[in-house]
Amino acid sequence: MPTIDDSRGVLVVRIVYDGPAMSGKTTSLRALASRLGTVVESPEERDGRTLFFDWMDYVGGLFEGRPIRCQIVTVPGQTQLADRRQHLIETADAVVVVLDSRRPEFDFGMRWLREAAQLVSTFQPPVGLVLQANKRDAEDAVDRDEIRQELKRIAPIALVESIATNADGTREAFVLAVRLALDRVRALSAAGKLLTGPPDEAAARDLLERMRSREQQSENRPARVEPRPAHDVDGPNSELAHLKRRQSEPRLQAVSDEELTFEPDPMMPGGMIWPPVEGRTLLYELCSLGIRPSRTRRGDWWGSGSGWRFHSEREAIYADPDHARQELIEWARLHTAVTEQVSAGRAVILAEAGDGRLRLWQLVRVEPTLRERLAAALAQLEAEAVATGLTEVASRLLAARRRFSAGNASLPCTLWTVGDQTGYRPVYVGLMPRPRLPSTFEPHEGELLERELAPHLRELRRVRVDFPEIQARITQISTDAPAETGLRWLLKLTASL
Amino acid sequence: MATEKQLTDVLEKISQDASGFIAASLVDLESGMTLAVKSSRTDFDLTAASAYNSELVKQKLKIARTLGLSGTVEDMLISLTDQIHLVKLVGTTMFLYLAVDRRQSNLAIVRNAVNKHINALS
Repeated sequence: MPTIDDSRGVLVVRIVYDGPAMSGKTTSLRALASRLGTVVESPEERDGRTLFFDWMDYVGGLFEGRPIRCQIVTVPGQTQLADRRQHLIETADAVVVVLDSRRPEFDFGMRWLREAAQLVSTFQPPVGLVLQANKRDAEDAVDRDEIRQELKRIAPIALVESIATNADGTREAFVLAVRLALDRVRALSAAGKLLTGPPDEAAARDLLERMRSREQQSENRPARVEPRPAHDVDGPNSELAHLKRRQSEPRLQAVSDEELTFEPDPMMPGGMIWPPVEGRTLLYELCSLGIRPSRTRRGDWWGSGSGWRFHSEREAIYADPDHARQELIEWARLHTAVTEQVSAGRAVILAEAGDGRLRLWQLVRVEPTLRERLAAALAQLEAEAVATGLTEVASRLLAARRRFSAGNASLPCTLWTVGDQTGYRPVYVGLMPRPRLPSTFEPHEGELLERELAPHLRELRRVRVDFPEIQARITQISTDAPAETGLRWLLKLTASL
Repeated sequence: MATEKQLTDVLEKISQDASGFIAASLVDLESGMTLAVKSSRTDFDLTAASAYNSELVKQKLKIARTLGLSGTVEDMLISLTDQIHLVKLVGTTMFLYLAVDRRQSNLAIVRNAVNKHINALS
């Protein structure tokens, strides 16, 4: 937990370096130490392996006028020391996961990362994660795009490539972690929860004593356990699903005399991103994708590609920074109110638009929708497959309607806005309607199905000679599941065509 | 973002072109953390100088916003009796901090050296 140490006039934050044994944590720390002009302490080592932690103190940078004192700590990477690792991660304000990115180590590294993401997923305010993909000079290093694809399945995590043996990328990962830690500090400060006073452990020996004492008290000496399997880390119920990632260069380019267009910038000032920590990691991912929004005829800004959508309404531009901040807070409240109903991979940010103005953007990760599921179902050759697909889409749509109407926001329930995540409760995957819109709840179940499915069913009847058979199959499915009211509506709808 | 090696290369080139070079750093504006450093004097605390200059830049940007100035801050010059300090903004999130010996250099040389190489980071 960060603290304002008034006796020394510094802000103390802890950056924890996590990662499997031999992935390069200690090497990274030593490389960083040589660059920053400080030293690494390793309280206990055996055969060059860290048994408790490596420790490095570094004072640099400023936070609201106070120097930032970074306690940089590595965990022991050996699986039998998992308890010590977990304890250290629990004290982190940001975590850098160092992984060996060579092909033979890759899968194990990703499992490790999943576990780290799960460990920090319950912390509030969130603890940001940075993945330092190490050993990038190896011939069999996994391709960067493949790493990104894997990260998408885990959580939004910033990716920095490194070759720790010659210090490449180590400072970059560290500075990014510090920024994520400062976002956490800001969140704590805003909630009036930022501690003051000396840190619990001011030096390596303090931390060592605490860990030893903890182990003696619990009598649970480091258990010989394998890393726990990650479970439900990408599910909508996981808080981890709200985490995010990545990085690049100056982000504003003039497109006209009137307004600067937006390019994602992970280094933008705190207070302009929601959610604060995950939003920055998400921007870190987006900035390298090269998405350039353009103006629509209506005057909105719109950009998409590489699995993301950016959108800003024409009116969402503010000359007054306070007004812009207030609007960002409104959007944050709106998202928080429906967090259970909406997909992960979202951020709202204020970006410079030129002449001191700020533009509000929402960034949303593209997810599969019911529209795609329907299209796939209608393309099936077998009548039964078509009927099955149709009934699934109808059931899911109505389940989404029920779920969305339970929240306070008016989330549009359409084929395009309901996600198609098999096995999970339906989530809203569309752009978030702006705050303070009057509530316009979706129509009754039958009307909703008619609005969404009738045009497709009419087209189906026109092109398929086996339409009666499809109807019969739907009837059969409906008979087999009499409690499913959605099927009854679908049946009625097909009969009324 | 450019890699540390790219950033260090830029500082290296600036150090070669700016006569009287004392020290230079590229600094993350938000945190004041150095992203790359180059110094010819061991007694020059570049870490502290970079951190406090980040506050200076933030305050200047705040002043510009408060005054409603439409222009953007390009660089800031601080003249000491024996040194020249130049702070040059690089994009919106990073700045270059450069200190040179005033007896061996002048503002024109400093600006020229910086402008010649800093575009590599844009």
